Amino acid sequence: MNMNKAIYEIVVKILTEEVDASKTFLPDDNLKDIGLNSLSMIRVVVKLENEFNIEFDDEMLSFDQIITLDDLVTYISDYSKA
Amino acid sequence: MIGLGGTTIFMKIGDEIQEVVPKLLRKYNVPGISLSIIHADGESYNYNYGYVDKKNKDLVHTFTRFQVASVSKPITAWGILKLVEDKMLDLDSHAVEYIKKWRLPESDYHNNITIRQILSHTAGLSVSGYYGTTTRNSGFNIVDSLMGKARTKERVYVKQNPSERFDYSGGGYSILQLIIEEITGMSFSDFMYVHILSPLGMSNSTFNPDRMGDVILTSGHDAFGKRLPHRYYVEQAAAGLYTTSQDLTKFMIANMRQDRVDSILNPLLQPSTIKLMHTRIRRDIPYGLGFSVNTINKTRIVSHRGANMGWQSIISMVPDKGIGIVILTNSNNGCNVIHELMEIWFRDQVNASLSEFNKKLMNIQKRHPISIKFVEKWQMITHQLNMKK
Repeated sequence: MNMNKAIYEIVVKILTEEVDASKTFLPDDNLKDIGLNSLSMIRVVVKLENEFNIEFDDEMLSFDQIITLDDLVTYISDYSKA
Repeated sequence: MIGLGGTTIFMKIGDEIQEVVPKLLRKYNVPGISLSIIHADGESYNYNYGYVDKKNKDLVHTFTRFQVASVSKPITAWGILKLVEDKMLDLDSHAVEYIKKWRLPESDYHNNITIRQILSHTAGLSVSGYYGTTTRNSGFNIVDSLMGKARTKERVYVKQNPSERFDYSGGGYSILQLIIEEITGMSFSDFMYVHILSPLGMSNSTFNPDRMGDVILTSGHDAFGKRLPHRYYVEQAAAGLYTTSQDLTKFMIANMRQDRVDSILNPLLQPSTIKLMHTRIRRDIPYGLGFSVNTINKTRIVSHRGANMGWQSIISMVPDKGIGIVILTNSNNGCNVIHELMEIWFRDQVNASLSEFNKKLMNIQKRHPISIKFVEKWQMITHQLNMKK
């Protein structure tokens, strides 16, 4: 849980560099509703990959599998576990 | 040396291949196959089954050559990067600076396309692939092809804004072929043999069909197993390599020995250069410099597919793990054999199952012979229409 919280905070920090940061993000927020589009999603992915030293699967680069903020945090968290 | 664990894994996949491949050839009516299971730090295994040619029943063996279509592109890319390392070429220079024999036609977009963009199919160029000719010496050269005067009547030009998106262009690799010839003063096939194929020990490989001597070359076959007339490609860089799975094994090992540049297995390119070729040009584009790059189950896969009329092939590797596979077939239906063998290889070696998304991305989907037949016909009709233009 603590690790997830730490990941969550980093993800939110990176998201605020791409979208309107005046709102408060919630785990269930849809990434598209937050304001991410396909281009900014890729920029976020690149930053997350550098931050966590991971490589997202190709399948995860669209909004089909990673839909909410929580999905993004869970993917990173599970990545480190495996 | 290979560890005990590695040996066990190879025996497992080796046993499965020996059991499965003959069945697959019968199931899909594919005459012949040559494949290799590679471990860069250990032993690699070569398997050959079926016939060179369905009619005369010569068997495929270790030295049987296959036409490998677009698997030519990664080898061409090595040629270009060799010239870059030798400071004869700059990845970010405009291609037109190196060409005197042909002029990139004016179009609605700027013509300042770079070598890097061409290598990664992001230059916005026309002409996706080639159909070849049944005449061995058609009299056409690469400039004729670029101008749309050769058998493919489509000329090469910038059809969309460069650098915007990935759009696969064999035409771009024809530009690279001309650049190599203009810079070195050698024919493309001679340059590639002297500076890439021979140093890598790929002595049974050539881009020049006239240099094949008496070695056995497979015939291509259609979706129902009928032998097709041999097709030749003046567009050698994009589609013209003749090689064996053993030679491609050497190429793959060179691609995976990034830490041993002076080793006999990779006497050519710096590790940083190879790493660059295996790195996506942009994060959302699954292609580097001459190689497809995919990440599946947290594993980076570097590969290339080949599909010319009558032949289907693939090379695929995981450089981080030092493992790879080469599959060469002499049939349009080889795509179905490739599909099933790649599923096995991914399961046993990469520890991943292939989703439909990833199969599509890697172009290793299952196809019905009727739909393959339809594509064969469609390609033939398009080609004939082009000829009449």
